[in-house]
Amino acid sequence: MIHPPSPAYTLFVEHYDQLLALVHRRLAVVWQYRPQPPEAALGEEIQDYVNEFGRLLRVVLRYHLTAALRQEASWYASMLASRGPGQEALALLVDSWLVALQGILKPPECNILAQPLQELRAELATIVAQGQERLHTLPTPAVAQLVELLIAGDWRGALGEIRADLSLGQLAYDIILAKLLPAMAEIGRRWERNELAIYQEHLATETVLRLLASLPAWFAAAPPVGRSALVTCVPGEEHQVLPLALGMYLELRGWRVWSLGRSLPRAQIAAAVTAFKPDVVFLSLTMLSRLEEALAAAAQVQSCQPAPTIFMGGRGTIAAQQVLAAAGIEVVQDFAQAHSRALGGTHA
Amino acid sequence: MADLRLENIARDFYDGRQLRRVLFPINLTFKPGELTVLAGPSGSGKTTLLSIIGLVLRPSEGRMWLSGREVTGLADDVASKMRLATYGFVFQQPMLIDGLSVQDNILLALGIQGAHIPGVVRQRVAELLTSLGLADTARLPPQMISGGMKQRVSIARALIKDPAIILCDEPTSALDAENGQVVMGILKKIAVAEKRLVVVVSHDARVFPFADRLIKMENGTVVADTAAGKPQGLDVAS
Repeated sequence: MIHPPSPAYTLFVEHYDQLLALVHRRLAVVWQYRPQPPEAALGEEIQDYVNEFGRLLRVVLRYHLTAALRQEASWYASMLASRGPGQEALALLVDSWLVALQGILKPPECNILAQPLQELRAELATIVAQGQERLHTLPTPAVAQLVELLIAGDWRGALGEIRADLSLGQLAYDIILAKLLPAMAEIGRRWERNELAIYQEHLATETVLRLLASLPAWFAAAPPVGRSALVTCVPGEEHQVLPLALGMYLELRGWRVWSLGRSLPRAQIAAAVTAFKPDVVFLSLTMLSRLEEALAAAAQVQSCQPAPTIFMGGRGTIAAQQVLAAAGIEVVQDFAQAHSRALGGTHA
Repeated sequence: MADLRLENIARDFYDGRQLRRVLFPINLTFKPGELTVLAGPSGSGKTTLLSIIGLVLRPSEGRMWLSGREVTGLADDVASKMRLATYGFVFQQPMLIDGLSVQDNILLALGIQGAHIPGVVRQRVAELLTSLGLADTARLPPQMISGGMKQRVSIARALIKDPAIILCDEPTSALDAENGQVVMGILKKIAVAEKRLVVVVSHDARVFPFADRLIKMENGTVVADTAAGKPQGLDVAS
């Protein structure tokens, strides 16, 4: 069972808009009065990440996921650092939240809410260093080659790479695990490092989607397993490649799959469940900040008749495993686990 | 540059019948290059704390160091000299003298009066006024300039002796929103770009975005401090 919100969290939500406005204002002020004033104002993209961090904080404070804040912080550190504000960007953001919380809210709530951020700040130097290390993980030469093709929008070239692997005896769905997912992870790292222009990231995503869509035409699926799955992002979640890749992986392993893509309202997910009556629903949660939406969507799906088994995966689920389990949602760590665990699932 | 360290600083007042504690033991360190906001409701002890920091009031208990030198029990004349040399003060009301020009009001802080103003001093006043957006006001009487401009003049007066520490008591509360932001921007710049130690007492939430550090006081104690637990050596540009 999920615990009810704490009084401190309730106060936080009541003042959330005011707090966030102060955070934005302080960032702008600090930016303007830096020792070496920057040429440009903080860009819109940075403002989006600041908003996203606020959503993350809501989730962390609601569900007491302090450890998750530390894990997610590394991603925010690199995203912000590579987009202008530099290495100290996350410290600046954390300090702005501390000023907002302690300036606007009264004790003891302001101190209760500030504590996870103060703990985070104490570890920031380590977190930033670890983030840099993670960002510079090198892909294998084969994956690096595929990444270049995807970024160039060369889906035929990418398909040729995959067919070459197949001719060496690899199974199509294993190639998704061995090559496509690592390639997507590398594209994600390059995005974090701000080495890709927005159009390149879009092109790579679209190329992956075309590639995935073309796989059934080129590679025979395994014999039907007699199971069906609906795969989709949780509402508000825009990272659609992972669930589409999972859908294709399951299809190639003999599943009947309906893929709904990104950010569908939960009522629409429930409507699709009612219409298709899948055995299993896979929800993808990359951004932990979407946990509230994920839980609400899962609850609505659970109320469908017949209720399917719900699995959730993606980076955001790692830290929220206990919360999700309390809501009756099983977390799967990877595609192979999703397949094997869901094979055993039945209608509730 | 100067830093301040307070160790168990407390203050009592005698109200005619009994001794009343208005500031309970406080431990704080203030660093140059930072703008600290002391926030809290009326009677929380923030102005008392500011007065002790500024060597205007003596603490009843505790010790205080200014750049490594203990300043807790200084004789009045020594404290006065140190205050004049090291501190600049900005108050809620600019407290300019109407019969003097803007320039003369600033020069008062140097004890300079009369027509023979050294060129270097005149130059310094002109630079300060220009940096505060008051270039054309030097010869005007205070009643000819706006409230926001008067407060900027009072900042110029506080800066004329190049103090390492600037203490401000509610510097924006008599100003409209726009002028309040201008004044806070100036104080922020003074702290960050000129590496001065700036402490602003305020209960105005509009000053919070300018805070590098925010200390909240209630009933004579520090109830929240954004720098609590901040590791040493992790200074950032914020």
